[in-house]
Amino acid sequence: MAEPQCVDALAELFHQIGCGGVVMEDPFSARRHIANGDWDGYELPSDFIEREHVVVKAYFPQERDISQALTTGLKQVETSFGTSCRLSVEDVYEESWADSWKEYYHTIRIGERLVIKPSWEEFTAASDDVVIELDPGMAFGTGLHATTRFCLELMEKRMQGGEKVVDVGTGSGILAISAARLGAAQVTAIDVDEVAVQAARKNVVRNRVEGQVTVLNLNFNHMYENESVDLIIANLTAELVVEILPRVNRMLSPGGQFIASGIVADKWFLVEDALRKNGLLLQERLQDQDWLGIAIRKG
Amino acid sequence: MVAKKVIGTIKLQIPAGKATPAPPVGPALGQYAVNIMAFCKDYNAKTANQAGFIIPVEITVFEDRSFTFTLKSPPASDLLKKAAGIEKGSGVPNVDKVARVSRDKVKEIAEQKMQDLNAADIQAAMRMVEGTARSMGIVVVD
Repeated sequence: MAEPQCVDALAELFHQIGCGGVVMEDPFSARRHIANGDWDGYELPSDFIEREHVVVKAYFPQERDISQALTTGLKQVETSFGTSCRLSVEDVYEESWADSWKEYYHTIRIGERLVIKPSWEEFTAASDDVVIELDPGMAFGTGLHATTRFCLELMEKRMQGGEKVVDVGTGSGILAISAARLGAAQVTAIDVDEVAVQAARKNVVRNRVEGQVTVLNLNFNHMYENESVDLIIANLTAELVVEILPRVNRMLSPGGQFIASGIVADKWFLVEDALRKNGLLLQERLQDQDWLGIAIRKG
Repeated sequence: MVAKKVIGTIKLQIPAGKATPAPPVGPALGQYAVNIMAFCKDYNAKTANQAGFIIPVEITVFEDRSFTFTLKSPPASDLLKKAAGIEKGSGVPNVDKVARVSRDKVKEIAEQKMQDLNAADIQAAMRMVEGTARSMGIVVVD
């Protein structure tokens, strides 16, 4: 707990000791938003909003001994500002926060037929519904984000069935599994993050598409290139889409498609330029506020 | 559009393009049941071109657990390090002074940070920046 003027100095101290980031609970800033009329309404706890100090929090692994560096650094901040801060240390357990968002994650319908159903919910499907059961865990891809939705809508619209597909940065496996359920013959789902690979494998089994989908812990740049693929899907970032584009172009069969998202609208020019340089044709572009999703065909 | 009530506000200082569901992001957002991975994806996409900087972010959480966020300018400590041409502050700032910055530079940083700081006026903002400099072993000179 600290007076507001020294929060940047405290954050810097935590960064220097080697935390991965700092959280600030700042009632002064909240009160400013209220006074400025920035919010339509608010329901903030009074023990937060009425506080006269900022709480600056950092997390360190239990096995690291930081007490010496912390005590010395704190004293220096106090001397520099002529103030005093209160230090408190608490144990934090992963279970207490990692699953809390699930309470607000419900079955959603995307496009004409796709239904994304959390594994812990019941759902009665209509005859032509394509239901994907998902537990994203700590991996990207719940279907709630506009970028995932774009990919699913474009896939549903453009896939004919029988395709050979690569899903780059598969996360929870949502796009790879959907591709399989939309009729792909063979799907290779890759991710550089082992947590994602584990989550995707579980979801593949959960949806009984292990015969079609292979999940690999692999970088796209290390994929065997002499394969012609009918569809490559990549929900990444604008920069990564640009980076993989030449390789995508080489791997796609003539007439093959590339569905990409995760592109922030103000970085569209980067992607547009790279498409031109690689001679790829834009077929469709979807936009929702800041986000874009695109479908591309190789001529 | 129906107005949504704010139920939480969180300020984070994390490295640009590197948000992960690990602490501090996970616990900070998890307590409000916000979709942690969705925030990480948004933050990383919007800060990817500022790699190497700490980019503070202020997140507003609504009653339906949706959220918006605003990116802020780098913390005063980062701006001071950049101005002084150093990578890190002093471990013993009361003894070991690692760099100097001019008062004009402090004023410039204070002006840049004025919107984000809890300061009543530019003098108060400058005192905050000067204090941060002292705590890092950076001497402010006229």
